Amino acid sequence: MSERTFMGYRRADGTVGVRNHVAIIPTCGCASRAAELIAAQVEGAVLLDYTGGCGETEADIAVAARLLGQYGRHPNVIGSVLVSLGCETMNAQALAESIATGVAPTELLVIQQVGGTRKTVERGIEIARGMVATGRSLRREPCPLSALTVALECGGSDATSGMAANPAMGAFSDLMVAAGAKVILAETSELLGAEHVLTARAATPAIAARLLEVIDACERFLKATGEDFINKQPSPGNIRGGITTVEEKALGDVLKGGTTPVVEVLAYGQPPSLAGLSFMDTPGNDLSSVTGLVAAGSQLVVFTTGRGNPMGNAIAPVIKVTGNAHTYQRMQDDMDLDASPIITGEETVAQVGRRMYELSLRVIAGEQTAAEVLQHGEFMMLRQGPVY
Amino acid sequence: MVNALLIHPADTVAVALRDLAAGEQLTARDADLGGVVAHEAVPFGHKVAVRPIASGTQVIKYGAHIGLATRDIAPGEHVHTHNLVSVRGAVQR
Repeated sequence: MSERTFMGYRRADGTVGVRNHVAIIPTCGCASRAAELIAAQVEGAVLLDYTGGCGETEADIAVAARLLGQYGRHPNVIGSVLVSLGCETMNAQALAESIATGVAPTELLVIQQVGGTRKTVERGIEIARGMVATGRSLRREPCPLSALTVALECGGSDATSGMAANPAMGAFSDLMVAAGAKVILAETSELLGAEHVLTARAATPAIAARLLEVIDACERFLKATGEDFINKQPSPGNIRGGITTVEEKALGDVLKGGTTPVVEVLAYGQPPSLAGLSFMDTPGNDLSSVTGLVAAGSQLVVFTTGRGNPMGNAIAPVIKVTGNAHTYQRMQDDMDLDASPIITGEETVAQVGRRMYELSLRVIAGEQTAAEVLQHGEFMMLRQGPVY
Repeated sequence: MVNALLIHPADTVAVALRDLAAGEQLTARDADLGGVVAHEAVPFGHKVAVRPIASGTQVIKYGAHIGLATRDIAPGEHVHTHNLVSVRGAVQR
């Protein structure tokens, strides 16, 4: 098998899954317990732990409905059970119809119509088990890496992040782009101070302008809430760790996107349309950023951490990389790749980037990540407005 | 023994991979640092100049600008808040 193919699940619409999950999707917080009970009792089912709902802004509910629909149609999902309460603001029927435009089956259960939690859970378990059973006959076949979308994320950073794990992720990103994959960099607030680097790499002037727009909007949004982000950077702890300027701090983050041109700027959860490196406008909050990146169709997430973050995602494997040897030793259950040989001088950035690439190829072919073994199924929707 | 990291070939600063003592020569895994010697103690994760940096010019790390030198910096000097300022951040410490 060449480097440009991997063993994946080819779907009827031409997309390629790397896992076969049945998603249990509550359409509001009030339905989330019933959904949780279903997912807990069906092996192969995962809960999309959406806890939003009534009393949120129209914009936040619209984002949630759009993203839940995208999860239902995601190539890693082979079927979904929607669990609705019956009186929530989100239109559950419309969501079911939107998921049904994809190739995976979906069923809607309305708790108030089915007759309560117990009956809904029983019915949901039966449906989900049927979907899981159907999935057992699916077989992996060679698929091109051009069918792969990889999300890049970092969290719990420390002094080693900018020295080892993030530069290695940059080398990894370049390898993925060269292999024809789509790669998505994210976390707008962490770009403040490194605008010049990403805009210089924008494929067109319009993309550079769009990057500056989303960064300015982020800074204005923070200012409107009373946060003066840029002038609090770097933090006193960062300075003790050797980071002098906000530019330097932001660069340590943004270099995980490697050196290739930025070909597209995406809204939260928006699927990329072009091969190469895109930038998605997401918050620095790791859970809601990753949730949006996976909604966009990312089948794989690679996550760098310094202090050690154990998070995963409900439907996509998350590979955890640290450049901190102590974190790798202390939190080995949660870590997949040790980038600290860069710090000890035993390996180069390029060598660790290559190891990250090889591990990714094994994971998309079925090897379980640490977060998957521990069933880390984190899921958190972006929420920008008040709850009233 | 490797004790420094030059992240990008164009960088004018290297990063200390452990606490460096004054007088130690800098050695990187995949770059020739030209025999630069640390002028002073440099803590782990901090920056050391590997080329002369003129006052008022950009300091380069990650192959990109990270701020302006506030005085002439000689190879081997510790580069931090005492001789480097942000352009993007309005408030300086």
